Amino acid sequence: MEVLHSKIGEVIKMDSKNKIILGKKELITALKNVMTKMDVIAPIKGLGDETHFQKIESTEEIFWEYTHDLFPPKNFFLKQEEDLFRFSVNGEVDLKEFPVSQRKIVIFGIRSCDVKGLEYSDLFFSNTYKDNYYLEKRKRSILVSMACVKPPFDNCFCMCTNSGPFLESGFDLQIVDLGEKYLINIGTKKGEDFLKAGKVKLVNAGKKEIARVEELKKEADVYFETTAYFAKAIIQVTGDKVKEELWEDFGEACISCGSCTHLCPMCTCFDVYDWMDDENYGVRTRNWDSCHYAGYTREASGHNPRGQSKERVKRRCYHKLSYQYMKINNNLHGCVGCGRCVIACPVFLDIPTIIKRIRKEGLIEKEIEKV
Amino acid sequence: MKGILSTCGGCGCGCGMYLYGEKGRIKNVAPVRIHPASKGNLCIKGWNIHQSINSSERLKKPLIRRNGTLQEATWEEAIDFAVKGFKKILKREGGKGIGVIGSQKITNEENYSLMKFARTVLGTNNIDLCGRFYCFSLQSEPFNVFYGGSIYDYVDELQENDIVFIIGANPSEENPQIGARILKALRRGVKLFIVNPRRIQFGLFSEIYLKNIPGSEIGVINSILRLILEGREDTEEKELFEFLELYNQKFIEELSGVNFEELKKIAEDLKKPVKKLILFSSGLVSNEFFSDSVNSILYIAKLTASKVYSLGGQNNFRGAVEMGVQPGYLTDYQSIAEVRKKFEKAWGRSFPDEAGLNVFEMLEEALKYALKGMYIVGENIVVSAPDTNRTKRALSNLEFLVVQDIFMSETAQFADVILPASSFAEKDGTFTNLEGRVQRVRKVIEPRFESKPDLQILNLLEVGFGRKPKSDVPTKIMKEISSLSPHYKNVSYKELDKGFGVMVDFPPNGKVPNILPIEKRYVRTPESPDIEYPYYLITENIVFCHTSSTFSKHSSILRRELPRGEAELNPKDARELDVRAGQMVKIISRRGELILPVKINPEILAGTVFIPLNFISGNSNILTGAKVDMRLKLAGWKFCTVRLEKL
Amino acid sequence: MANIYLPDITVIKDIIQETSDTKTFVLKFKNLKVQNNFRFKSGQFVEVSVFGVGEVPIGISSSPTEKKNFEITVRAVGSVTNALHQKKVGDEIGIRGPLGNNFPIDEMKGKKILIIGGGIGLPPLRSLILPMIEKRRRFKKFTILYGARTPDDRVYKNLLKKWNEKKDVEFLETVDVAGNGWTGNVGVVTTLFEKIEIDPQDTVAYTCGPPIMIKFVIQKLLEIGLPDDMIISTLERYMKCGVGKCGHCAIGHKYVCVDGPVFSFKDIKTLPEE
Repeated sequence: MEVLHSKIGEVIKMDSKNKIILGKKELITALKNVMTKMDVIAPIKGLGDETHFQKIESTEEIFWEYTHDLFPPKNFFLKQEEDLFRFSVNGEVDLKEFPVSQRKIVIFGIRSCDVKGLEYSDLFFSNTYKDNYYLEKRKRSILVSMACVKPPFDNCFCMCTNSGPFLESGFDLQIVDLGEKYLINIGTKKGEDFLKAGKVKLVNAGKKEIARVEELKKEADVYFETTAYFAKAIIQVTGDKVKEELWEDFGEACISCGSCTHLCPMCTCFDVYDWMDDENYGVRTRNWDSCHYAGYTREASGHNPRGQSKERVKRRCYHKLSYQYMKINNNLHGCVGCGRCVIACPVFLDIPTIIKRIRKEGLIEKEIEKV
Repeated sequence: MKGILSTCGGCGCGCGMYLYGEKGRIKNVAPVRIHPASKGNLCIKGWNIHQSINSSERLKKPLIRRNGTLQEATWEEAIDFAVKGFKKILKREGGKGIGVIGSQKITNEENYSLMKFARTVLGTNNIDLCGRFYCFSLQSEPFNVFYGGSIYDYVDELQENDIVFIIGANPSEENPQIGARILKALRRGVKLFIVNPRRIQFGLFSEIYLKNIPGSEIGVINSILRLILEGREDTEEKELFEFLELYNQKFIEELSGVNFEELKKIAEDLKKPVKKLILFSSGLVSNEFFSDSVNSILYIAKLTASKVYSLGGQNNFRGAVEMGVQPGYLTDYQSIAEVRKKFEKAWGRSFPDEAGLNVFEMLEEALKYALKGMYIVGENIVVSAPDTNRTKRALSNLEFLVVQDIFMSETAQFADVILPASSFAEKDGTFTNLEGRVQRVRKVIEPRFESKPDLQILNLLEVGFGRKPKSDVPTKIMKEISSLSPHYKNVSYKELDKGFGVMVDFPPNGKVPNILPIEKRYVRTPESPDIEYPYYLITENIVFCHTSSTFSKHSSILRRELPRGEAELNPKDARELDVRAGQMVKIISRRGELILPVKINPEILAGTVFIPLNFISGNSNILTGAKVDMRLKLAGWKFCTVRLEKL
Repeated sequence: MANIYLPDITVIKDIIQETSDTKTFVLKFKNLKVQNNFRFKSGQFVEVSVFGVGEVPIGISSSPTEKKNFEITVRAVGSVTNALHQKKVGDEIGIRGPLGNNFPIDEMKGKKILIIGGGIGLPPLRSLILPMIEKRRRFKKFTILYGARTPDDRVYKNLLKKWNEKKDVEFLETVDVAGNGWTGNVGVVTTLFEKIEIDPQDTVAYTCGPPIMIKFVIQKLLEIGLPDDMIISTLERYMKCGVGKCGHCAIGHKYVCVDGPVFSFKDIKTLPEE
């Protein structure tokens, strides 16, 4: 079974030798061992049933029944606010880069949809010009994903975008919960590094366990609803067959809050600006930006190619839902089905709703889509 | 690095947000999925608020004006200088010589302490908010409208209405979450009626959209009221119907330019037995007929069993009013006359018994050299008050001005002492959002540079005046507040920490919704156009900043979003004036002038000019006027007339 | 890994006032090694940093054959360009580049060259014209058309004179509004088309200028019969990072900073209307 290559880690062929079994207690011990050498980011419990991915100091903090973090893990690599370099302008100009940490980070429990999102942003940040800030963090990160046996919450739809709940590649390790123990797929050499650091005794998975995983995959087919049929929407968008009235409707509804882009694992836009610490020293910083903001394309002369909301919504849909996009990006869909936009958008302009309305030829439906 | 639950300081929606601090800066802002008002969303201000907090342009040190220039000083020097300056005026004039302006952006505990400081230490009841220029709290006198009085509503329940009538408001710009709820209601099939001189978002989905002549809202509302009263048998209503006979078809069409048939349709729908909502905002507030407009709306609401909602301005506007930052009221809308003894006993201090000057009167007195000193906290009055030139004259007449703020502002340019304050992410406290939800703001990072939370600054001033240092611990202050304010009696930090805050809109303290008798008929709009000034000017808040934009301007993204500052004209007017797009024109009002490029916009009503309230190079208050609603002493700000000159 | 966002430091060697709001800056990298390794192609741009204010993309206006230094011509329009105009000779600014794609030159050997510039569109074309004129004999014909708003708004006034005097170069210019004793053509740059002969089979046209001028020029060239891939232009968009990451300059699936700024009309046609 061939594996699509992951650019960041070294490729390992997937076969039964790369599936191991680990007991539940042993995983915790492994994490404890890893934490002595690397920073471990894991899901912790927030208010209600909220989950937050944060650095843990002890394995007791891990919230094993976690749902989904509204905030995407791209934040660990493309930070919401990140300083690029310092400059001093006292006569001669001097530039100083910030020191780069060498400490490895493990993102434990990351979901398959988010792994797929990182696969896209890995491609994006390494094509043509290599973004060193993102890539050096990715290089020293290890993704230990947890396959979803049941949908972690109501709004996800990874089955529609080929991004889960079980992946074949993209992860360094994928953990499948078999009930009493875990089956772990080793995807890359970095995954092996984690197991080494965890001082894990490698026990190969047996036929029974591998069969159980296949059973779970079949069960997942039943649990995970297909809520968004991408293919037809992609055909209509690529062929420019969507009614103008539909874009006007979307544009009228959009409040340009930018939440969909900030929370989307596949959105990567940022703004760069300089600020002064005092007269002589300053910093160049970058900050998340959104193509939904009106000023995103405004030029110094005042001319704005996408001054109207409908133009911006249309542009984002074309960016995510057209065939050209898939071609450029290794056949990745423009969406990973994580469902964050469904929660965050207060005006029903999340990807599944947009797809539904495009598919139905732009007919406006008056029933409640989601409350 | 841990995320701390706090409340957004952007607008009155009070969305929950997680703030993550590291090395003295906010590094992440994240939405809260289960927050009852925001439900996992943040608007553009919320997402970029950390940039303003992290900005290196924050006021770093106290500043004192010596020999005409502002120079850095220590806190000791600045407090000493401020106290000396106040004492000098107090000795000569007493408390009435000083005016205090509170802030709609600082916490409840801070506003309460400021109010207490003003009354008991400075000995003045001259304390007010700049919100008087553009916001109004329905809970205030004379209307006393609280939730539970079956008129008000929670943000999230707005979407359950069947008919929504928006007049003088732009919900998606002023309070995005409310705009979103209206959109949700629209997707359900709700009927939307809009009356606004300018095209607002969701207009495409509206059933009826009336572009009225600016300032004629009172006529439109009374006309609808009259239509609803038609045929009613009750004597009082019959009398009122006859009293309003002025608002017949011919009159209203001439006064407001709207189609009478459409008004009839609106009235018909409002009479239906479904869930209805009437929404208004600064479009009505900044108008000399404000109290009468709201009064008529309440009357309509009573007759048709509709709910009423007024949009909520800044993040703690409602809290500031409820903490008694008002000349004639203490906390919780209790008038000085009613509760002075109760407060004096609780405080162990006395304060004057006469109501003080409101902000409008303070500026008037300053112009006459009768008000000598001011203490302005967290407010940029030069930008938020109408008629900028007049405000500047008033401030320059003052003998002594102390400004306490986070950033340097146009108002601070006039100050003798500038005290650097901390942002909401650097202190503990509470905000009350427009729903009446009291929520925690929590300290995430230490006060940046040498800024101090306003509570600490007030304590330093009190010590400077020789008083014993009072508590500056927010939990204790809230205890005091809740013991003196009926609506806040269930608010304690213990309760606030259980979830998302405490609602203060439960059974009113004996006050019932009050509708005043309708006694006036209006035959004109405020400041009608004439030969000298033939165009109406309309200004409006935009979503990227609130009113004075002091806070938002320092976020690189929000600053980028600020509009360029263009005067929008209808093509017909542009042709008459012989100006084309991009051409510079001078816009002149009775009070000031601006030079801006022209933008042609066919959606603008002919005979009107639109200039956004805030833009990159300035704001439009230099043109606006100060006509006052005499009953409530609210200042008219939105509408004035102008003429345009080609350059 | 190289830091694609970190500029190199250059020193301003000379400043030439071209018009009331446009200056040419002659720059040299402070680090000699960087200067010696700096190779660019006609049409590429650099990201110019005025530290503390920001960064803007500016086309390189000098010839790629000049190795000792390079030039940028900048109009003061926004905060960064205005701050740049305050700089003096000897001051230091940051440069990242060369970035973007370039004008096709080698493929056009043997063709008739038509260059149409408008106003501030001439600087990037200068980096094309200079090396081409050096190898004038490679091309069958060489025509330059230039239009500016007023006589004072013309950039590179001395160079224009030189081109006018050159015998093997056909040079015509025009202004929108005459003044200052102007005795030459008056009218928009498309009016110059009537004064020259264009062979639609064998000509390649390069054009740069304000968007509205480009629109009319391309229209005219299509009317004359030039094929789509022989009309070369530049697209402008608000740019930030210049390396195809921040997303601001994206049109459809192309990034103006990486796939452009030079596009043939054939490519422009495939982009969504914006």
